[in-house]
Order: sequence, then C-alpha cells, then structure tokens
Amino acid sequence: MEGKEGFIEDLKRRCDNAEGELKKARDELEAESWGLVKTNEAIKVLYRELDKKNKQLQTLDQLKTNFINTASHELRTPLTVIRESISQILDGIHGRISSRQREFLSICLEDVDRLKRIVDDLLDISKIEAGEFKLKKENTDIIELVKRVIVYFSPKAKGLNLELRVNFCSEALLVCIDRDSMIRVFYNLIGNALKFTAKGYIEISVTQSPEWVECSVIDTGKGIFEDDLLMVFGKFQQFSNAGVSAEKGTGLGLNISKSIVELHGGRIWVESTLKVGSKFTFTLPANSKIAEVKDAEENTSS
Amino acid sequence: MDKKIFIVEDNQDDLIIAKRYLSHAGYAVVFSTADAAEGVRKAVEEKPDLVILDTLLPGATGFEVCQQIRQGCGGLGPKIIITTGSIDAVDAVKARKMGADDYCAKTSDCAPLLEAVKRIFSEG
Repeated sequence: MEGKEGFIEDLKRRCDNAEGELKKARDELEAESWGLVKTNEAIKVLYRELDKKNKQLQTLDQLKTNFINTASHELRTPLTVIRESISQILDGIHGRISSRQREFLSICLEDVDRLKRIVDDLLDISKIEAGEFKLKKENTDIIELVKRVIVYFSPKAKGLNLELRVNFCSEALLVCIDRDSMIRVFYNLIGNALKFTAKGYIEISVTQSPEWVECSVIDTGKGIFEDDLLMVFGKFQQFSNAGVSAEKGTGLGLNISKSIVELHGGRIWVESTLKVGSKFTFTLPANSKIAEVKDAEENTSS
Repeated sequence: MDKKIFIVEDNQDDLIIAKRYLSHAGYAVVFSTADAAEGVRKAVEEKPDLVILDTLLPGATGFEVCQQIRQGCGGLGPKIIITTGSIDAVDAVKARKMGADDYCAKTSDCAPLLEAVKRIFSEG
C-alpha cells in the first residue's frame, strides 16, 4: 500500500512540476510574442518617420536649388556689365589710364571672372540637380577636341615649366558626345592637374576598347590624401594640399564633371599616390560606331 | 490625482518634444535627466507612476536602466516605457525581459508614446 501511495505522491509532484514548467514556458512565449509584435510595430513606425523626414529634406533641397537658380541669374547680369565696363577702360576706349590704375583694374577683372565662373558653376549645378541640364550630343572627334584644349593650356604649362604629353590610340576617334560639356570636363581635369603639379608632366591619354572610350589625365603632382579621395567629386570640395598656381577654384568643377560624364552614360574615378601624382579617368560609351553600323544596315535594307 | 512621470533622455530635442506633447495631453513630467545612474537613483527613491526611458543613453542602455530600476524596487516599482528612435536599436523582446511594461518608437508627433502612456494609466 505504502508503495502505491508513494507512487501516486511522486506522480502528483511530477505533474505539478510539469504544470509549473508549462506555465513558465507559456509566459515566456507570450512575452516573446508581445516583444515581436512591438518590435515589428516600432520598426514600421520608424520607417514611416524616416520616409516623412526624407520627403521634408527633398522639399528643402528643391527650395535650395530654386534659390541658387534665381540668385545666380540675378548675379550674372550685373557681373557681365561690370566685366564689360572694366574691359573697355583697360582697352583704353575711354582714355589713357596709368599703369597703377591698370594694375588695380586687372585685379578687378580677374576677380570678376572668378565670380562669374562660380555663378556659372552654381547655375549648372542647379540645372543638373533639377534634371534640366540637356546634352546636345553629336558625333565628335574626341582627339581633335582634346588637341584644342591642349592648345589652350600650352602657354600656361610652358610658363609653369610643365610638359604636356599626349597618348592617343588613333589619329581620330568619333564619339557621340556634347562637345561643349566635354570640353568643360577636360578643362576642369587639366586645369586641376596644372594647379597641383609643381614639376614633371601632365599626360592626357585617350584609349579605346570595343565598348568604351577611356580618357585619362595623369599628373606628377603632390597627390591626394586617401581621406580626400572619396570626397573629390563632392560639391564645394577644395584640395587641402595647396597648389602651385594662385588661381582659386570654385570647388564645383569635379562635381560638374562627374555629372556630365554620368549624363553621357560613363563613369569617372581617381587614383592617387601622395608625392607621386594623380590619375583621373573617365569613360564614355563607344556608341558612335554602333550608330554608324545601324545607319549602314538601314541604308542597305532600303 | 496627477500622475508623476520621469523621463531619462539625453537628446534635448526629443526631451522637449516629449514634455510638450505629454503636458498638452494633461500629464506632468516632474523630473528629467540625461544621466542613467541619476535616473535609476531617483526612480528607486521617489517611485513615480511612470518612467520613460530612451534606449541609447551615454554610458548605459535603456534596457540596463530598466533592469536596475526593477532590481532597486525589489521587482516592482514604477511602470516603465522604453522608447527608441533608431531602427538598429529596436528590441522589444529584450525590453520585456528587462521588465518594461511597454515599448514604442520615438516620432516627431509622439503619437506612439502618448498611446502607450494612455494605455498604461487606463490599465491602472
């Protein structure tokens, strides 16, 4: 009998234990389930909040773009008038001026030009951001284009005792590009290279693969700090390692260049080693040949 | 009777917003601090009706503060809501394990927090 009672007691105790454990497990499960529901809820709310903030930022950004656009237009007109007036005085149209007056007016003209470049850059940036920067693409000989840019920079390079080298894959190379915009990219890249190179050379190379035309501007300048490499294409970025030339940039040139290259369907990047030099490379789709082949096919079939 | 609310929050903007919305809804925030240790001490000593904790505090997390308040009060103590403004820090399962009564996201209109506060006080 005693054995039987003991067995029942033991069974009862085990049942109680199991029930306790079951309750504990159920409570834990409930807590877990509550936590998961609340987590899910909080994440949803936070994503909605992020979305709301993002929209507010976009509106602010649009307001900023509109402001820059309007301000730039308003600045451009008086600047043109000032520039023209100073030029006329310097040209002697309104009488003789002393060398001292000429010196001061020349400084004025330089700064007016710089201001004009900034205004032009700001206008372009606002157009790019508003999606209003339109390319007038046509088949253009990029080698001839680069040669023209080099002619412009030659006296300056000579004055700085820097060699301008070229490395072209062929005599002529047709690419479907917006001529004026592309000249601007080369101006920016070569202009920067001249600014930051004290001795050595600047090499402009144009090479071609079946799909891409690759253009590079290589210099033997001071190079760019690794931390700066990621930011060189950002807006208002000025290189921290001061250059040889006194001419100050707007800090917008590389940002505009990047946008122009990307609008052409290309890519731009930079490689640099401190005290060795930098290499800016951009690609353009080699699509003009494809366009020619298509034209030829259409002509044959008709 | 007015309910006593404490807030432990290091972001001044978030604190101002929470105080403004809570007072507008008729609640009184009688004490606030950015210091986790001070928050624990005051909550244990004064036993308010509710403590609202931010998740990311200097030197401690809201989860840790919650657990310390519970331990300090011998397992009971004030009602506790943990809030977060960072998606990376969302973890209501942990909040419950540490003894929080409710958990919600921080928003610019404080709607989730106000709902949680109302729910807690209506439950008694």
